[in-house]
Amino acid sequence: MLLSRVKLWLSQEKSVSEIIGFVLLITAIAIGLFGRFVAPYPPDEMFGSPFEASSSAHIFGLDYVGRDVLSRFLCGGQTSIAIALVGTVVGEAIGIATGLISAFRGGWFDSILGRFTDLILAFPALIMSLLLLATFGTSMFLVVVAIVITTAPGAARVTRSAAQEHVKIPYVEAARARGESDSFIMAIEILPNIKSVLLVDIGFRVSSSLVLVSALSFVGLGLQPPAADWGLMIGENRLGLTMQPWPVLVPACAIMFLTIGLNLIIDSRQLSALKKSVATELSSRV
Amino acid sequence: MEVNAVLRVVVVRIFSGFVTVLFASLLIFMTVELLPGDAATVYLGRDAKSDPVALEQLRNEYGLNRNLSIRYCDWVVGALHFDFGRSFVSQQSVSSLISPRLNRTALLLGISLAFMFPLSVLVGAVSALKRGTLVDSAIQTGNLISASLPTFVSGIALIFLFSFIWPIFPAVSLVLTPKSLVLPVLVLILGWMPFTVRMVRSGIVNVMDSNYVELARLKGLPSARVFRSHILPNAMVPAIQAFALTAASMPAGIVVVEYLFGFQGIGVFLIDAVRARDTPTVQAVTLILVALYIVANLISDLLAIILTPRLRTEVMG
Repeated sequence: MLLSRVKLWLSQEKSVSEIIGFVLLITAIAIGLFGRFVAPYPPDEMFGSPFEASSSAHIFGLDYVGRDVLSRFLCGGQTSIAIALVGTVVGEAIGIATGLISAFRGGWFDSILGRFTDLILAFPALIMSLLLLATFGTSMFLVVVAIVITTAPGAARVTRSAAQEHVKIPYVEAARARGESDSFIMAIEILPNIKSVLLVDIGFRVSSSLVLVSALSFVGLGLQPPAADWGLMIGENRLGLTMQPWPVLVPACAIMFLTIGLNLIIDSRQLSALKKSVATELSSRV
Repeated sequence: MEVNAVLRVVVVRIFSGFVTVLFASLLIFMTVELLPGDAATVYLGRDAKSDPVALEQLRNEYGLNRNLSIRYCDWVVGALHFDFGRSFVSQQSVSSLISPRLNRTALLLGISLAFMFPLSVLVGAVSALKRGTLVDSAIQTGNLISASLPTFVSGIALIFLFSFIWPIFPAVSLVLTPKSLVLPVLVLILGWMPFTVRMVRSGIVNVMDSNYVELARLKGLPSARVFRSHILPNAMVPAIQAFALTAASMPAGIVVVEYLFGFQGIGVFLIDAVRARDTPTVQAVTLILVALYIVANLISDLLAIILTPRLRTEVMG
């Protein structure tokens, strides 16, 4: 089943930018997930003086406390990619479920949810995360919570407006007349019809969650030292940029691959709603 | 009649924006109350248990023993007078600490926005007029790349280029000089321009394809005149709206840019306060940034209603 899907996808015509997007994204994710297994050294071991230049033993030199940059880079993607994925998936699940119910039921649930999403969306994602971290302290779990909280309301709004167009269409009425239950209609009748809208939304939110996690680590409020993480590496080593650029440039390139890759794919898939997407993108711009 | 109806919509929107700010302030204030302890326990951390005297003293000093609703009202009324209480860390009044930093951030924002708007209109117009050519696709690709890069990545690239390979600008902006502002401003422009460029381009393309531009052309008007008096004014509406949205989101995004350059503005101040868990300061800066964001978004909405006749009727009926 999955194999036939992949075959179908491969047989479809794709634009050049989409192919480049996939290559960039897959490269970065492969490094993030499997880099750990090919890292030449343990990421925490110190080998020499801070910011030592490249040598044959250490291709990208050493970082601000003398650890191997290549090994830290190869180990540094996993955690933030995982955090962004888990947070976004949970947030999207909550958002899609509440958005569907909201469009389907209407009434008081819809208006209360609408007010509530408006309130959360009145906070830029980064500011909401900082408020949470200031109150509850910095931890990986809280970063996930912050992503869930900033993802769910937007996802709910997108789902609601997409589903609302379908609720009025006769096929939903027909399903009701057949005696199908509400939850069945929502999950089996409506959801597949708004799938493409939701996929674009998920792709966009994974990308912005990833940027948010890296930005938090970059300012020292996400993953904590001595963790090996791309955002954290940039933050830790940036003052040595003029002496030893590799510990900053290498992880920066990885984040660049990820975000540009994702955005190229989203862009070539995006069909609609330019104005709406500008507003959503800006609310999570970091 | 129509003017009255528009006025009513505007008043309703302003009122609901005000209510949103009020609820946001409640949310900001209540977050810390969700904890089993209070702001004092958060700030003192482990010392809170071992030193109950200090904890009690801090609570008394900051009035944390008072009723929750009284404290909230106090805080909101104070905030309206730009009085946010005292910082836990420095013991000084938060507003006196914020003022100079807010001014610096406003300067950085103002310069960036002032350059960004004409530049994005220019780039967007070129892209639209050269639609389908190499220039257009180059602009669109550049736009996509610069929109997808986080500011701390594009900023690192600029620092690497202009303070390391070709050192003409300082990598840190601790001291405010015209030269030290160049790179932060550039990062902000690059990071936020793409959204307005995209809107300008699509605005102009839409208008160019419309019947009345066709008519103006068929009337034999010179194309420069058609562009100036028919295309540009109509295409400016989405551009202005995108610009307002940009101006709304930039104050939040500026936090990371300030941190990258060590720019002593309100963003770096917020990050330091979050790290020190200085609740009064975090609440104050968050409230200011969120209120700014809500107001600017509201302005963007209102501009859209006032400037677009079609939307005006849609909203009203």
